[in-house]
Amino acid sequence: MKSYHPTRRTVLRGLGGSAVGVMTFGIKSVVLAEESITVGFLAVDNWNDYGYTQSHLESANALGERGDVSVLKEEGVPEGVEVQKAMKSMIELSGASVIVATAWGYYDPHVLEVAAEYPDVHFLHCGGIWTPEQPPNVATYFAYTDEVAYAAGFVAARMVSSDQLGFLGSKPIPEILRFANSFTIAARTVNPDITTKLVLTGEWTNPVREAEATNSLIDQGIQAIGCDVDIPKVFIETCAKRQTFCTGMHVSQRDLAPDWFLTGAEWNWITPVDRFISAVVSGEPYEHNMRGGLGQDMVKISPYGNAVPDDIRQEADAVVEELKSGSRGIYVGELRDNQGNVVVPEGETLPVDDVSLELTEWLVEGIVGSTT
Amino acid sequence: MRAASAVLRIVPLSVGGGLFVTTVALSLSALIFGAFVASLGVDPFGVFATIYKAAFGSWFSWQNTLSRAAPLILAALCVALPARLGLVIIGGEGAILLGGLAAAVAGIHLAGLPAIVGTPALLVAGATVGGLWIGFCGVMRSYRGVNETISSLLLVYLAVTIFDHLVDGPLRDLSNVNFPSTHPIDENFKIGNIPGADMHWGLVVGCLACLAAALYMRVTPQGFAMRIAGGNPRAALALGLPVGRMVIVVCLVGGAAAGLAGALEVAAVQGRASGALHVGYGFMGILVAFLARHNPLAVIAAAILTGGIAASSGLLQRVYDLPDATAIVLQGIVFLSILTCETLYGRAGALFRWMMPGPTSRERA
Repeated sequence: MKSYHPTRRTVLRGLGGSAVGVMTFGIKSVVLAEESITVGFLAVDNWNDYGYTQSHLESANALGERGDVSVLKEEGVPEGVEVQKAMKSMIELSGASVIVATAWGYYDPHVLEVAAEYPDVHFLHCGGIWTPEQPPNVATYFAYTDEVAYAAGFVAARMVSSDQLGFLGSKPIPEILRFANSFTIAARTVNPDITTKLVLTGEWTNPVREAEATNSLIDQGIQAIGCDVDIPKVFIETCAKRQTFCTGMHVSQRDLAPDWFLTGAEWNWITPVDRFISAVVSGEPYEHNMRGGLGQDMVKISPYGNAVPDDIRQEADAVVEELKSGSRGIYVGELRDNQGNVVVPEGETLPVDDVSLELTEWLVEGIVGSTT
Repeated sequence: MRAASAVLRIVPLSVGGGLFVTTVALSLSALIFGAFVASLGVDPFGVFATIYKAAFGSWFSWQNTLSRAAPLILAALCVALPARLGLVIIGGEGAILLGGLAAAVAGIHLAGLPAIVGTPALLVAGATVGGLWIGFCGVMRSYRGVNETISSLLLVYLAVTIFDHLVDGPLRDLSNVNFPSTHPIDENFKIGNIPGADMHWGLVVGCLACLAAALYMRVTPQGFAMRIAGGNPRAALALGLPVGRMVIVVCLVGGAAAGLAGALEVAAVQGRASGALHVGYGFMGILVAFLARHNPLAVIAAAILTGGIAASSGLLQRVYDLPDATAIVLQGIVFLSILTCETLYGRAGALFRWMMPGPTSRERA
């Protein structure tokens, strides 16, 4: 190795250089503080869909209020080559340095491929799971809805005079099954005789089938129905038309049926998105998989509908507080599935972030219906 | 054989006549869309300039447009080829889904074979399943007289149900927890990009298919027979042409094109079959085929135009804050204008003939 002998000249040059470096760095950081970064949001459905996509619109709008961020939005982007092109277009034509991809089908392969191609751009995806062999400029976020589903189930059970509730779901995936389970567990803490009639449409969104299923549940004399479909608008409107109580999902659907909407489970995406953007702006490393529930402010419950009396509101608020503080558990043993198998043994409680819940295939005791 | 419904029928015209009707229809669409945009309080010229910039303004935009056009070319062939025989097949979406699924299954089960065997096998699997699916419409048409428009559309619902059942059930990769999909295909079987471009080889495959179809129609005796049968099925039957068999063959080939589109989506883009295949390429293909007047070569140009409109949606949303529906509205206006101009040309032909330069005898071939 060549030895290094500093001369007066090299020392001076080095000092000068670092002085210039400090100066430019100083100027640059001042500029950076004033400069805003551009964040591009992509969604598969329409922004004002009263459902999953609108929950992301709310987060995009809340992010825009930060002041140091300008937000771009693009809706109706299919989960094919289109989303890759749309992300690249936001980066190349509109100068986006952060991409927030909100549909589950965007992650693999689309976000991963584009992220590898643009290592200087940061990618945030809702619903994916980042693993260390994937590009380092990717992070994901998602939330546990068990607690807010529990709150919705609690209110629904308090509002009915019968022993039956209904539940409308989309696909037989863990996320949806957990929601239906928590809804039912809560209802059975109010009245242990309650059963929940479950209908799954098999599609993320299918307004015709959702309306049919809702009507058939109502025809069976059910007084309150919960839901977890991508776009609950038709479900809520059908319930209102048939004068049946309902609980919402994704965003508040209270406006659609103020007298029949009880409350609902809502995402609060601005929490993880804001945390990610703050890390990007300050240049700090970010968490690659952000997860959380009520305690982490990642979900919230919708404002109560007109029909919910004050005493039930107070009880429900207390339940939410207990869930938030952890003094009330959801998956408390002994808990059986609707086939009679023990899923949580006596004396144990599964926290909502338990990994085994990510693979939920069982339906809790009290649910009438199956996943197939 | 009964002639296809008059409303959706595109009468074969000379190339000049076809170009004329298409030009009038596109100008009409531009006028209506301009008025529509202006009524929303947005400058229509700015919107057209933005569409041009986002779709064709740079090499980046061209790549965006061509990538979107690639699946549409093959999807449109599924409409355009049967249309040469007077059939209106609108169920290409089903063939795309099942073709994609078949390709994924092949890609999973043949894992380990060299790519030179695996990739073609996967594409052939997709084309075969797609071909059989739409071919079934041809069989029902030819032997039972079942209207192919209705049967192909209803088969889409069946295809979606079968696809969802298999992807959510027996074929599901359980490691992909909340987004049901099949296992990924062997990485070796994946089709890469055209060198130097951010587009996969599907575009080339589509263009070659169009070229082959055009040559077949123009050059071969069978193609000539098809043109006769498409022009006048009764005359073709009287001549002793096997019209029934031609109906089945053309449905098989059209379906194979759509199945290939699905297989290419799996092999070049998705790497697995999932609900992400169900994005409506089959339905967009109907628009493209009608825009192209069912001429296989014109399908390429029509797909590029339609892909360009879709590619412009993003920039329209970002620059003018217009909803995503804007591009869909434009596509709808184009489709309706084409059908309207066709009808006017057929019914009020005198007006158009008076406006048209040169000899205007309607050529039925």
